[in-house]
Amino acid sequence: MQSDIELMLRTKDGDDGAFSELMKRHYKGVVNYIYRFTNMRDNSEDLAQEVFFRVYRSAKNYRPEAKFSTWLYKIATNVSLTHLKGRPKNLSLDEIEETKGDIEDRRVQISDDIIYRKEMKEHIFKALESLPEREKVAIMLCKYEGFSYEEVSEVLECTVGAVKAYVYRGRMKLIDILESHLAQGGGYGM
Amino acid sequence: MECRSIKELIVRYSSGDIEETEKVLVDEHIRGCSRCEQYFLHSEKLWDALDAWKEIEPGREFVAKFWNKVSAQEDKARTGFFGWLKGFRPKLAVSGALATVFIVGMFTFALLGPGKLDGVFRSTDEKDEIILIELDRATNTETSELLAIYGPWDNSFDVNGNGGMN
Repeated sequence: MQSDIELMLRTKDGDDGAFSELMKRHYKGVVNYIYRFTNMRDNSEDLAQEVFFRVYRSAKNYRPEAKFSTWLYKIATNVSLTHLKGRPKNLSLDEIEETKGDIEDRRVQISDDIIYRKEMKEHIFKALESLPEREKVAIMLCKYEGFSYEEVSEVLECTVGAVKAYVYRGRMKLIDILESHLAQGGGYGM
Repeated sequence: MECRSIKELIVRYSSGDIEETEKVLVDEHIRGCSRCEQYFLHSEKLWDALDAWKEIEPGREFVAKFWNKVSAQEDKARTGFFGWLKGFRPKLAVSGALATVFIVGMFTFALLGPGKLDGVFRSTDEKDEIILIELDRATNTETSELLAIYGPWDNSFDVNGNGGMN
């Protein structure tokens, strides 16, 4: 199997098939990253398309200096942040999501677990949203994308030590914010 | 060790990024401090709690949609300005001609419209002529009056300058 960098270099040489392969590998991760970043399910696929479009457009200038995924997620972070900054402040994100959310399927009996998960998701989003930008990105990349501190440092363009500080500080804040929910526990590893 | 300092160690403990000596410190502290023990439990739960936000499954047509978007963008870029120009050139020509006719018509009407010729040329010319005649007459009268003090004019000069006024 070819590496991401090899596929990107083939894309640079005009091989669109290689870029399709790259997208197949990463689009789910990017869509979910943006979804968790913005809490807007409807827009996350469009924004992910925008991310890949930017990558594709800059393929001509691609230089394999960093890991492809760190570059990809750096663009995804920028697109998400730009989107969030341009978003109307009073827009109710959760209600937009609710129309298509995981409890939309009424065929499935709504259980306490699903309600708990939905509520917890809202609390997590609000808690993450309250963190400084870099702490939020560091935690999201480490937790949800499985990035190492080194990879996060490439995305955030800072030292590994700084990333660790962001993650620790962010985790401490999240514990304080989510204290009551953590005390309640639940069926999802809690 | 103070509770405040131990909290960061607890978070690092949960992250698996802690030295053995620090680990012993945390263990010892939480055995004697119920609040920090509680904090330790919350810290351990936090990372798993974040999993409550489940992944979504994007549509399988993501890649196909992407290429459609790329094609659309390329078509737009290719046809862009020239396409627009081609599509709109006849309309543009007609619009331009109509605009020119309209502007020329407006100017013509403003300059040569009803009553404009009399007002602009004839009556002004006539008034100018009257003014000039009156001015000429006034000048002649004034000159005659000024010259009258010298008496009647003698025109009998010879080539040597002899003769003149009496």
